[in-house]
Amino acid sequence: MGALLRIRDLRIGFGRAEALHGIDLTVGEGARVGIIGESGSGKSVTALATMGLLPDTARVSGSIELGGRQLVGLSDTGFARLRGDVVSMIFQEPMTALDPTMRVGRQVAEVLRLHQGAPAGRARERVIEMLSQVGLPDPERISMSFPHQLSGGQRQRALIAMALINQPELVICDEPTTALDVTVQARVLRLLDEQLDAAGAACLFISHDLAVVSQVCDEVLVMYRGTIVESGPIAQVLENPQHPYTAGLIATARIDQIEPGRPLPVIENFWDGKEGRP
Amino acid sequence: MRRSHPLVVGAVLVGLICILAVVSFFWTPHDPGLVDASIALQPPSRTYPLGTDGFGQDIFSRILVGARICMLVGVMAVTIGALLGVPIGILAGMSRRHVGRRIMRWADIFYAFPALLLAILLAAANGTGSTMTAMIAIGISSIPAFARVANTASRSVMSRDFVAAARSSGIGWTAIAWRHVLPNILPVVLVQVSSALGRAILAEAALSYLGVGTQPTTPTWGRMLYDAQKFVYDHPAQIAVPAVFIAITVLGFNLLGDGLREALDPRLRQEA
Repeated sequence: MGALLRIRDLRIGFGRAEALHGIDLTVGEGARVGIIGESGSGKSVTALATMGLLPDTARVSGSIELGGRQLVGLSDTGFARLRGDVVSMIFQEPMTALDPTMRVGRQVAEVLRLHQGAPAGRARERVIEMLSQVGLPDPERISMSFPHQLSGGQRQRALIAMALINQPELVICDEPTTALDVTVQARVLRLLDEQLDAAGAACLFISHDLAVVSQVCDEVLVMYRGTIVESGPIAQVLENPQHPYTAGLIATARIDQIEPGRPLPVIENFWDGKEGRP
Repeated sequence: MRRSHPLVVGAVLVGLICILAVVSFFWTPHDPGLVDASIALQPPSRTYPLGTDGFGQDIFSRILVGARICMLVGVMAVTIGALLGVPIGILAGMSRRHVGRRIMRWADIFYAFPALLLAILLAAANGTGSTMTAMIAIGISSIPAFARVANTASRSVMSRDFVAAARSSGIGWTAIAWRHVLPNILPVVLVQVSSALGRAILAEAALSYLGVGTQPTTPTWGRMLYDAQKFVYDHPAQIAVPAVFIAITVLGFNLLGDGLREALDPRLRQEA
């Protein structure tokens, strides 16, 4: 399997501060890579840099190669051609990621027509097909609905349809289930899993939730303050964390193993913030 | 909405003035331009519902016809302001931060330039004031307000996830402006349209009063005010009639604007 996304020594700065201190990561074709870390660790910035959605004020150096194309320094027009076609993104908040003034079907069709130039009638057929494929009941009605008429889970499914309708090679998921409640979360994750397989798309999955990442991904990267502290196959990282920060993350996620009355573990119990600092 | 009905009251007042303007095309009790000194300054009567002015012209007929100019200038001026101001505001709201700021600082500078002064300048350049110069002057001076409202609103739309989602689907800037920004800022623009109409009508009245707007023989409320002020001590009712109509119109549009704001703003709606 060749590498689809290859990031080398990526540094991103805002003003005087540097948010990302030179990270390396590789996503193979069809691979599922998770990035895990706390807020401010640089995981979202990495995703935005890959999409070309960073604000103008960001300084970017290093290299991001997607399917052999260099993305660092690419113009916005250049990026626009790739977005939605080769690479697409699923956002965290399904409540706000759909335009409230536009019918859902039209929003999905917009992406399709933009990149494939499909005529309106054919686009509509394909949109309905896609909506039913992501498990939305009565896709005809949903395509004519406005976002506020749908539930959170339905909206997230519509967003997944939007992201996958052009069968992109890479889908970036930025905490796609964080805003959903746990029962809906499990169903949406399963759907995402199936749809990624069906499209043969690779996935860069960003989350702070270990359980969610382990459900979708094969590989995981742990980020902390703009660096990658650990990476490897998911099972290996979970069973045998090499970095104390990772060990802390895993322990804090397993609150079911804490005896009642005992204090909850925090990262500081495992890591003083100095040892193993890259 | 249970406490008061600014939307309803505003709509009724504005509707009333619109009806007056429309009716004037088909029917007026008397010829609004007919001068007859023998019946000057009559009090209200069955024949002359609101009396006659210093030239013996029927005040009610002139009010009816005056509603036309008032609406015409208001609507045209606001159209000019919105058609130019909103795109400027969206452009500034979507461009890089420092470029947008520069555009808006210029808009702010023009905001400080009064409509009346511009109208007088235009009238002077044109030789004489006219309905056209009044419309253009009021329109131009309402551009900055529209630009400002559109700018703030589109900035907040641009920071919302669905714009990022649209961009991440490869949708270009023009398409985002048309299909995502404009529909989302439309409610705010609509509120601005309503209150700008009120201000434009007030400005139009002021211009005709000063004689730099619509020229005499065409009845306008502002001009009627000017003609009536000679009689302010002996016949105060003369001045009250056009004044009340101007006030009703401006109040109507302002209430309509407030009502729209309340009806369209989801946060206010929840409180109501």
